[in-house]
Amino acid sequence: MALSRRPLGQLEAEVLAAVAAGGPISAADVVARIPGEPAYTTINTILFRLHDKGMLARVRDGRQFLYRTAVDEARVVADRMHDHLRHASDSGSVLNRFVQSLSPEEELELRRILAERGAAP
Amino acid sequence: MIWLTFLPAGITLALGVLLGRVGLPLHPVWTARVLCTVAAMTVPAAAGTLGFVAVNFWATLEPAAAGRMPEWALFGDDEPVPVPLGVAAIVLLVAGLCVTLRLASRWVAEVRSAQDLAQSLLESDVPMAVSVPGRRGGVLASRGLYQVLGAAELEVVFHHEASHLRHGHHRYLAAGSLAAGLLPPLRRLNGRMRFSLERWADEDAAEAVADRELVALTIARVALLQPSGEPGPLPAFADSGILRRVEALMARAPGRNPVTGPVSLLGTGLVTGALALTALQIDHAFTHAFL
Repeated sequence: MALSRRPLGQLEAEVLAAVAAGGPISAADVVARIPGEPAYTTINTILFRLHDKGMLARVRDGRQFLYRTAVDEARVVADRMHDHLRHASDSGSVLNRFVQSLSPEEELELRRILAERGAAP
Repeated sequence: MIWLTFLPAGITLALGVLLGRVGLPLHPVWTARVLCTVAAMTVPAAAGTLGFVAVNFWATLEPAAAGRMPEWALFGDDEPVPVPLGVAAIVLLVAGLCVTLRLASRWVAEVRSAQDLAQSLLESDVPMAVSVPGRRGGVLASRGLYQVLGAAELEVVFHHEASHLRHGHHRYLAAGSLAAGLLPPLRRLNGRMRFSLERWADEDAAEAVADRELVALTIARVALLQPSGEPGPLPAFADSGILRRVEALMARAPGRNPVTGPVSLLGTGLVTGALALTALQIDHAFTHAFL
């Protein structure tokens, strides 16, 4: 019960911490390391999701996966900050960001302009 | 004559939609100001009209209370407000209030977290710079920006962001996004205004470093170093405006419009201001109070 009330982000962070401390680690071992007896399926889902996000790497070990962190902690923090500012400059924001991301067509055109000027991108 | 009630807000909104579609042949400084004025005036015009309809609807339901209301707040005739119209006005007012509150809380959260981040160098390899308004604000730059740019290019970025801060561009952004949030037909106006604010800062930076091409190349380089395929706000428009910014800087500097600029702004301000005041029934209030 206590677990289901925990915000998902927190559980994610705890799973990440468990993997960082003990990796390569199986899902069952992650469950054992997290206080509050979380359900195996919950943890497994979170591991899958973190793997999808590219934050965990995994190798097959028999019938299960072993997980380890794919990025170091500093990178994760930096990415989170970047994520935070990603929406600066979208149409409802009051923050001005120097440039936004380009669409693929714009990128091509921009590279062409730079090449014409003889400038390295 | 109930349809006349909607005329001021209608004209202002139509002007906003038109200016969202047709570019103004002015320096970005003046374009941004004109567009922001229209956006800022459409909001009170629309809100005033809806409020007026809502008040009269209420007066229709409660004739006793209506007797105690100032005469200027009511339609001149005793024609009742149709129920669908009255209900729609109230629903739209409440929805507008919700949108306003949501946007305002978003801005506060956004600026606060950016102010916290602005106290130090942003630990990110993505080259980026954000101007953060407020006393604890400033230019927030990332480690990646220092890594990839030379001194001259860094100067460009800082002049650009400093221009945003110096001219209080966050106020324009707030007015524009409020107008677009409340009145979806003004989204393009908001987009155009945001673009002209970037152009304004680009022109300021170009003037400060006295090298248009350097500014263009800096924008292009930093833009190309942004992580691609980022599911950002872009796909909806598929145009970040960066290409147009670069092209504008590769071309000759736009005229500064020392006469047409102020005249356009003054004209727009007077017209939309008068319409907004009419929509708010200020003219009636004035007549009843003093004449």
